[in-house]
Amino acid sequence: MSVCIVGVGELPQGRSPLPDTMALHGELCRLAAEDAGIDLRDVDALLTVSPRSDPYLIHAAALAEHLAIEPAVTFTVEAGGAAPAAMVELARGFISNGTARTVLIVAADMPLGGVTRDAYVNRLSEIGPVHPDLEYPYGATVPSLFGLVARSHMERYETTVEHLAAVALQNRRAAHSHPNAHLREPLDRAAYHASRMIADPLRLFDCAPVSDGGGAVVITTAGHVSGAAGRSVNVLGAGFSSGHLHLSAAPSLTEFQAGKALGAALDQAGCNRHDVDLALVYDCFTIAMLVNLEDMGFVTKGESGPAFAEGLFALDGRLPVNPHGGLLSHGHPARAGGMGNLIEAVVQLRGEAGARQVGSAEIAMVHGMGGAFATHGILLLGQS
Amino acid sequence: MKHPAPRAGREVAPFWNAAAGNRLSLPYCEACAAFQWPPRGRCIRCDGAVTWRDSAGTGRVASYSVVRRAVNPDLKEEVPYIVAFVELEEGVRLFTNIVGVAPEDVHVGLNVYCRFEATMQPGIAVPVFAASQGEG
Repeated sequence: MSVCIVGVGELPQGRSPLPDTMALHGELCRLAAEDAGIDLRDVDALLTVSPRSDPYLIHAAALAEHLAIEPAVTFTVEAGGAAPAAMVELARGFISNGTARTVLIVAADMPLGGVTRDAYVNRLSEIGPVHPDLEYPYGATVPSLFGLVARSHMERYETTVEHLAAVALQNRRAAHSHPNAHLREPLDRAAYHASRMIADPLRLFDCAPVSDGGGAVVITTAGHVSGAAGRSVNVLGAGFSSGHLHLSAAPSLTEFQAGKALGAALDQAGCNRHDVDLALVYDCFTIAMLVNLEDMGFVTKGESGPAFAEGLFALDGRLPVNPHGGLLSHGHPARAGGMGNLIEAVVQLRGEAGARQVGSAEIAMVHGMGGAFATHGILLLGQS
Repeated sequence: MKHPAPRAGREVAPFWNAAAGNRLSLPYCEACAAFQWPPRGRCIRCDGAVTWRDSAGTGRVASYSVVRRAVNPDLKEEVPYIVAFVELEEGVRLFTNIVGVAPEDVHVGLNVYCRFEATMQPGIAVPVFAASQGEG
């Protein structure tokens, strides 16, 4: 049974004018349903991620209550930045098992508007990827965990700050033409290098911003929603991996398991790396882009920095990456991080990306990452 | 520097208890004659019982990052401070702080030795690392 994405909803990332996180969820769901041409009452499975700014006992049930709908399934998924891929995979299962026919997945968070920014960041550092016993007493911060990986990669592979800058600058250039991107103002090398150090070697512009935002996606079977004909996107395969949760338990500081997830997704889809026309990579920090591209086998280990700087992954390069600007510039809406990657892949495969359209994209890879390189979720999507 | 306390009374407690007595103690499997990290009740190789054994307390910096912006309000005055992974002689890699070394002087490969600092909770200390003599 061919499972496809028939609707997406996204609002501008950044500071949301909405009063609270539940209202944001509601708006995103309405947008996605409208895009899919369905009535929200047709949704029989609703999947969400628990927003840090507005948690509930069962967040998906609270959202269904808010929307005044009664889907059979209201589940909330805990998978970090791999949650968008995880939710799509669950939707495929529900649909192929006959548990549900129309699945609405939504992830949104309001770290700027829902709670004060400092309170949010502090809580994230305490219960996010920082080990509460073995790392917290030493003042570990999330950027410092990625800083440790960046330093290791620099030491082992001669990766430089110019390579990190190349990632930040390319993402910002891309975000400039995305109406929903959080950071759209131009960024040049001088401004990158002048930005304040957060956790050496990572500067401010090596870190994704803290954004209000997220997105919603409607999934069903091919042909079920007639209005979506021609604009639906097929889910070709999914793959996952889980190597550790805390960096203290990772066997390596430079190599992780994004490749295992991609391998599984490619096997499922019956294609190979060379078939991927467009990659949406989870880049909460610049170093995450470089390490994940290597681990996924799109470039030899240790070569991602030079390859990125030479334009291999530019929008007119061999494998265009993150035409929406990535988490680094499109935005990082806390627990909803990575929904932007999924939505951009759908928009690109539909050919609706306007000025940032990557011409020949027939197969797109969507990558999500939980924790500091801890878990990975990959989707392969294709034109219908 | 200041250290927020770890959670008390968990499987890792012997690590903190040893640190309070100025000892760096690590999980050790007698059957495999091997150390392991992080602490778990059983050996990751043979699934047998794990005991605790003191480390020589020396190693080298495997990686580091200088925190310029603390998020924990208790540590706002402590920046810049150095977080690091230290590879011990015994083959395990600990998350820790490098103390007594200026941010511009820390580097991968720096030889370090273990010291102990109090946490904000009386009776609980943490192992930290300083540059070995002749380094810095």
